[in-house]
Amino acid sequence: MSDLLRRLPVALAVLVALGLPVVLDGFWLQTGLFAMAAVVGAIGLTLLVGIAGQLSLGHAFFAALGAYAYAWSVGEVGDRAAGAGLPPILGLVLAGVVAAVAGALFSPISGRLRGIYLGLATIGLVFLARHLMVNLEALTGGFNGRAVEPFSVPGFSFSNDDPDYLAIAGVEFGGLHRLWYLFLVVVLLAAWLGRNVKDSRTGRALANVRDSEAAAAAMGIHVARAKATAFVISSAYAGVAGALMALAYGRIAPDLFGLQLSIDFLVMIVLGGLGSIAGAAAGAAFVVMLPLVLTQYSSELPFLAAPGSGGLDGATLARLLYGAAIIAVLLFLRGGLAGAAGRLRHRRSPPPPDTSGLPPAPPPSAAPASAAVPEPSHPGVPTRSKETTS
Amino acid sequence: MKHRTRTALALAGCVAVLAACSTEDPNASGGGGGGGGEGDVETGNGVTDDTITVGMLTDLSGPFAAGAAIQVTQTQAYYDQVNEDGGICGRDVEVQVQDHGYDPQRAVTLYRSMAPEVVALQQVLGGPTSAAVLPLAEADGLYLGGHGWAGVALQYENAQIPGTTYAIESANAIDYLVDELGLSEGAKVGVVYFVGDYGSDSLAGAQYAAGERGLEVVPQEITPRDTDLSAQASALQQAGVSAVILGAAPGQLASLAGVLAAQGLDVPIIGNTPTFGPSLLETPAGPALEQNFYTVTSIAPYSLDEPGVQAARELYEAAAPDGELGWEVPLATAQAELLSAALEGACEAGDLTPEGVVAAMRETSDLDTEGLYATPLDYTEVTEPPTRTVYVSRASADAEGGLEVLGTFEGPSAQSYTVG
Repeated sequence: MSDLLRRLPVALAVLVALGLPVVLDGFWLQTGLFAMAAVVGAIGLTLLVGIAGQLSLGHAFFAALGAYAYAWSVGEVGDRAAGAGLPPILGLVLAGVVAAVAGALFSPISGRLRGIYLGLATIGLVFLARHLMVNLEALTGGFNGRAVEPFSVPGFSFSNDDPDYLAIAGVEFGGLHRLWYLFLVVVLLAAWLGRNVKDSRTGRALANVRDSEAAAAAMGIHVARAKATAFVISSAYAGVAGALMALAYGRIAPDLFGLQLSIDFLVMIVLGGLGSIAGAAAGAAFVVMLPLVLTQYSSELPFLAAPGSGGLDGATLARLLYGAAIIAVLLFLRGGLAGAAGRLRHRRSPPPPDTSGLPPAPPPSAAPASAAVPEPSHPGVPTRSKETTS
Repeated sequence: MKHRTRTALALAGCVAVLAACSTEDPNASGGGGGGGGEGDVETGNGVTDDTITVGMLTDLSGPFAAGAAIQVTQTQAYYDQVNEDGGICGRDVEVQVQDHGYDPQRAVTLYRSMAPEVVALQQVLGGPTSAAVLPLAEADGLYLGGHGWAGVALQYENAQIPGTTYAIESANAIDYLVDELGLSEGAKVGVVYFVGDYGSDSLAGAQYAAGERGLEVVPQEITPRDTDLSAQASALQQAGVSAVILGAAPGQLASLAGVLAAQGLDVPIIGNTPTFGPSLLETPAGPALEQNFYTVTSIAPYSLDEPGVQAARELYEAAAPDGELGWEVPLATAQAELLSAALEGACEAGDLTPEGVVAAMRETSDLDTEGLYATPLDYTEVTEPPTRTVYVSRASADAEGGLEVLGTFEGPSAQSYTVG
């Protein structure tokens, strides 16, 4: 019974998500697509940073790899930019695989560095990606980018054609509506896999490595392999997220995969609560949707100035809110949105539920932000002060 | 028991969804039979019985905020006047403005919300942003203007390029250097350009023309983040260039002109349209610019004495008495005139739908802008630029908008340059 109750919110959320395309307009569908693509990437990053404690600013690099791998493999042979003409479903898988392989290639470096040094090393990847994207013109289309073929399975295309007209309950289902369901499936799959990884032997081993490499090694965990595993899994997630982004845009260019994207991913998981799958999803939705929604509806908010008139406009307000949200979470919400939700649940039901359920808050040993900079050799040092300075 | 209920529920759900599903388009036979406006004009998105809505996706909080704001003001003023004079097709024109802040993701989402509400996009500002929106607009058959002058836009049927391309500007620049400024064969010309659709297009034109005229190009690639061009200036001096073509932004022009003057390299600098801003003349680089800076633009500079430009000036000065002056003013007027002409054409053809506007724009073969452009414009060929003639001007603190017009120019290599 408690099992059913626990799953009810998720089931309800899925049901609502299934029905949404019938009522949403193009703007909200497009926003939802971008948000869902970001959710996949954020889940991958929270596994890496939150669970395995490896700070990465290179998520944009792997997302770019995935996006271009998809675009290349699905692209038509003999088009302006090279393509392999593979079926799109294979392209989507390939996007994850290519990024995972790149993650594996990078793991000798990521295994030797930790904390801020790993962060800096991964920044290098972002610049490498930009250089490659601009200069490998035959593959990437150079600075102007390349078009992305729409997703399709035999007999059904996730675009406006084939079938040219499709309606459900009297609402015409165009490319955006159809993609919505594809993205929803991928997001659910990503969340389910992420939860399993987190709760499995692998996940516990990763958390152990994060908390103390020496202790993990003493328990028989192969530390280097565990770190490599985390990097590979997270890269594969980023690759798939990149492919979804490519599908949501319909055209990709190097500008989309800059350092800002990496930082956005990091902000998503910090806001959501490091190590929490649901938190990463919520953080991703917040970070992606806030600026889009505020600009779209700025004209309807009475205290906002019209764009360009010099006052506080929607775009500026979005940036201020974004910063304020990060500061507020770091100061007041330990464990991010997920931590807050967990505490709220605790307060409502005084006798703690069975331990097999959701971990109500991140494990006490893992103070969220300090997890990104694991210093296992000082277990006695209060983590609080470190958190506020990092 | 519980399981049976669940299965039944799931089955019922599936059946309901399938029953609601249809692949027959109820509008298919009618050919979009909606609308039914007066005077037998077919209408579609963004057109009602008394208003026509056009959209602007522009950058009011990003790097191009200053120039974009001028264009928004001027476009608004233009349509206010059109509405006072009776509107287009008996309807008032309304401008919907959204700010994408130079962010492609925001541009795409804002496009999605705007597309069903407008009949045409007056402007999508910015290279990466317009590159993201152009294919979507093409798929929707929606007119798109004001996206800059990059040659890549010429592959889109729905895009109306507001003048000639950067490549042809630069080809004209080379021709001008040879024919008017007396560069001799074998001379070297430096090209400092932004990587990307703007700068690379400019370089392509310069290289082609240099090949035709027997000059040698010394390319120097920069990014918009490079604002100190000392290294590039030194390299150009070492290479011994006799002129420089600049495909960049005002910040880069100020640095380049300043450093070249400090090094004692007294050579002409010719810039593409977006290179110049009048406020540059108040910087320390001002004197150097007045001495050496030329610009090739397909849009008329602010100070040109032609009726079209004069009208634009008057309109702008009434709308924004304290506003910045610049080539954005005639440009915004010209873009609004181009779209108005397309709207009028669509109205006359009785098809005031987004597709009708694109079709009418492609019928435009001899559009006279009274001096806003150097020649009449011809949009009938998708892959051909509507004109190949440019205005050549030079920096002058005495002229309004900082540019004094020297005349129009169309060189032989600009004529023979093939786009794409």
